[in-house]
Amino acid sequence: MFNENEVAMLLLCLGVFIFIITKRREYKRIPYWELILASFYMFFLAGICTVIEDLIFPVLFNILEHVLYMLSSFMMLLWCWMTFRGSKGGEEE
Amino acid sequence: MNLIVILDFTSMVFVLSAYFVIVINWRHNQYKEIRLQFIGLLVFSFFYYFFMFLQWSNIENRLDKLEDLTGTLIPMWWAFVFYVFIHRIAMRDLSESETEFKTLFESANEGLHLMDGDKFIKCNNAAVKIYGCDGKNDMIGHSPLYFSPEKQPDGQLSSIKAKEYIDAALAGKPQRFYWKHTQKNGTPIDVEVSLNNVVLSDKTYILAIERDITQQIKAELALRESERRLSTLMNNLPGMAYRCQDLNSWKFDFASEGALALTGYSAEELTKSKKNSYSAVIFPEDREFVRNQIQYALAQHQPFGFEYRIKTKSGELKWVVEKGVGIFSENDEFLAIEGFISDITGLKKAENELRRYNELLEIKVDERTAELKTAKEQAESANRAKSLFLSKMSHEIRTPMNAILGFSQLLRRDPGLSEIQSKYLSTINHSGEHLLALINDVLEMSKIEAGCVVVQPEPLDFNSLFEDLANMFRIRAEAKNLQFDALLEKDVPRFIVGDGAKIREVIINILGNAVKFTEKGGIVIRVDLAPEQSADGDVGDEIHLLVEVEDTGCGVAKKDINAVFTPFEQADKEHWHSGTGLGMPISRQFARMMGGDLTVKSSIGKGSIFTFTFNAQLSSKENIKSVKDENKLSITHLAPGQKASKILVADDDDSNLELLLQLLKSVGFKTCQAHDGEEAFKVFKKEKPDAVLMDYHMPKADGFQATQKIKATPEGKDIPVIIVTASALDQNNESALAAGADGLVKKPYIEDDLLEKIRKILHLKYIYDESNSSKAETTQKKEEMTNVTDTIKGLPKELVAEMRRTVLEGNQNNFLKLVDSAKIDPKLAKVLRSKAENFEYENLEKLLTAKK
Repeated sequence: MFNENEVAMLLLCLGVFIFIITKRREYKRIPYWELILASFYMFFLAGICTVIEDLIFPVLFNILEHVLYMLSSFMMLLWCWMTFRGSKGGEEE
Repeated sequence: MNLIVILDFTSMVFVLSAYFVIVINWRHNQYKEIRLQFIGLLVFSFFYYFFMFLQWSNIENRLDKLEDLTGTLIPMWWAFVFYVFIHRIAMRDLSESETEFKTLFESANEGLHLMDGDKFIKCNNAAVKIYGCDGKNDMIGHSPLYFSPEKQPDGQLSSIKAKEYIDAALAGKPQRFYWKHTQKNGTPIDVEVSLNNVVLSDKTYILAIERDITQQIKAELALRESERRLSTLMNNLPGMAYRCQDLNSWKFDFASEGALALTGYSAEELTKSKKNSYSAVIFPEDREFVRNQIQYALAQHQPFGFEYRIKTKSGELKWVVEKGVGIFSENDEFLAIEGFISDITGLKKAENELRRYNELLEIKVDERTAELKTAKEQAESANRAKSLFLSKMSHEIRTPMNAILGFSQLLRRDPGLSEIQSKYLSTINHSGEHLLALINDVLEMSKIEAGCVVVQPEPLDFNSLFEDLANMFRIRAEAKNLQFDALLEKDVPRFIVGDGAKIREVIINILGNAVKFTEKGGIVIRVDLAPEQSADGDVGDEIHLLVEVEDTGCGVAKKDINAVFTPFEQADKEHWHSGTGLGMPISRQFARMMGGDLTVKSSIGKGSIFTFTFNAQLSSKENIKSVKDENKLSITHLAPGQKASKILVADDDDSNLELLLQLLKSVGFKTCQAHDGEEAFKVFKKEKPDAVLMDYHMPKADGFQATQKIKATPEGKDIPVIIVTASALDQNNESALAAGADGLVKKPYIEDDLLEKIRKILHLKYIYDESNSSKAETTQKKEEMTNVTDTIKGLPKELVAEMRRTVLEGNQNNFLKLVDSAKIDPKLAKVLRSKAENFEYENLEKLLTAKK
């Protein structure tokens, strides 16, 4: 059956997803917004995979879940790198 | 299982790396706001992992827990990122954007309004300023119509017009238009308005941009007015103003309306029509000239101006004057010529008329000049006739005068004369000399006018001349109880070369007048170098002398000064004075001939100062010696041992012939005579004289011809011939010398002068009479005058007045009758009679006036 914490996480991600959809105009002002949204979407997909693995093809979806986690984490790292690489310590606006 | 763990582990590494990347950039201010949240989350994550790790008892259990941990932690991170981090960044960016927009909005120079419908909801400071409001609150909530007049300048209602513009802008059509506003205080302003619609938060507003163009509108109006005035002025000028860029076609870029009146072509025809150019209007023969003139002026960068002809549309020929200037760019490239052409046909006609009149005038002037020339020639002819007449009269008068004076002088040599005979002779001599002086003055003046008088410089002792004159006039002055001072400055050279006769005559005239017109006080004669000479210093032999005679006489009124130097006039018109009135005019002429002048300064009752200047040259004592030796000693006879030379005297006038013969015989010469030129030559051949005295005017052959004949003979070429002439003209001197004569003596001559001339020529010696009788005579005269004055004082007033009247009238007979009929002292009667007979009217008048 469904794992509770997995369902809670999916619901949590769903809330984030709705939030993103409604505030999409403002998020577009974030630098490299495509990367961070892609990262989130992969994470969201990983959450879905986690819930599905409890229903069908557990091994496949489990592997897929963790692969997506990894890609999501990597893209997040990439976004952080891209966003902060040009900043200089102590610089005032 | 292992693959999953690896993937999770890798994910954890990526996530933690992401944290790390963020954390090491905490210092960046851009993320200052979320710094604490990051730190808190990191600490929480650390402790969470740490405690979870402690709970895990074995490695497999730990791996399972890791999976759970990752599944929990990563969504938590995402929640943080999206809710806090991303959202707050977005909010902050929005705030920054708003600030930027506000800054831009406020710093704009143009007035910016945001309008909701027709109401201002936002405006910047520039808009407040344009509308003259105190703050934004004065504007916000109002409609633009609140700040607009009822009607716009085009007459439309502002409300209707504004609605049209706003509706169009709301419909998405940007509007730009001119609008008349009224400031809060009522001052009208002109603005340029631009309306655009903008959508904010899904609502459509109107952004109005307004620019104050009041000054621009004023400037445009002023410019338009200026252009209108210029245009009116240009069009009313009687001519055509133009601008032309193309000098090849002469197509004007601009021509004023005066073109029509000037050329018959309208301004449009000359500027726009392709077939009409100004070149065609210029008279064909003048086109090249016009082109050359303009090209030359442009090459020189100078304005041009010239006249030429044009042919108008109707075929009329006109003269025009064109003035213009080339316009060049800063790079010196030709841009255009600008100028003005005006009609001068009328002026040209007037000029031609004037030229014609001038020509006529010139012809008349020529005719008049010819007439004047004829008149001048006639006048000159008359003048020559007058001179000839005077010359002849001179001869005719001097010839008998020569006899009168000569014989009287000759007779005075006779020691056997009785007292009464001596007195009569003296009277004859005085009268003759008086008459001669008058004649000489008149002749001298006419000679000056005829240009016959020349300056004859000769070496002279100026000191001696000055002393002689001073002595002469000192006696006369003292006779009138006048003080007489003669001052000769030490700088004045003693020996000079000058016309001594003229200098002497001028000084005598001045001093004579001074003595004549001074009754009390004194006379001073002063000689010095002229001021210009003193200033110049050494200027070689040339010197300028100044003779100044100052007296304390009656003086001359300023208005009568000119009369002093006018011939035949006397300055004192109230009193008659003897003389011809020629002394001063002659003296002035002499002074001017000698390079100087004679001037006078005088004031009535105080006296006069006569200043005589003349030029002379320095000389030496050697040159003067001969002059000095010939001083006035009376010749009595040839010195013992001297040969009694034979002298031929030729004269057609018997009395003069006799006079000369007697004179020569009295001195001891032998004589022979002839009555004309031919006879003179014959007698010369026969008698072979040692010298010849030849009259000039003689019948058959004149003195010159006879002299030439004598000189042409071998025996006659060394025989001295002296021409004796009564002619007053100096040319005779030159003519005589040209004829071969050795000298010339003028009649009436002073016998001693003639004898001296003979002495020089024949190298003879005389015996001289050195007695000085003149001083004794003067003293005697002075005593006589004193007695006479006293005696006249005792006469009746009526008698004296009557006598004076006859003297003033010059009526000698009546005066003598009065003297004879009146019972007066015989001595007084004798003196008065003597003076009247000797024509001494001046002295008589003074004697009689003194009584009065």
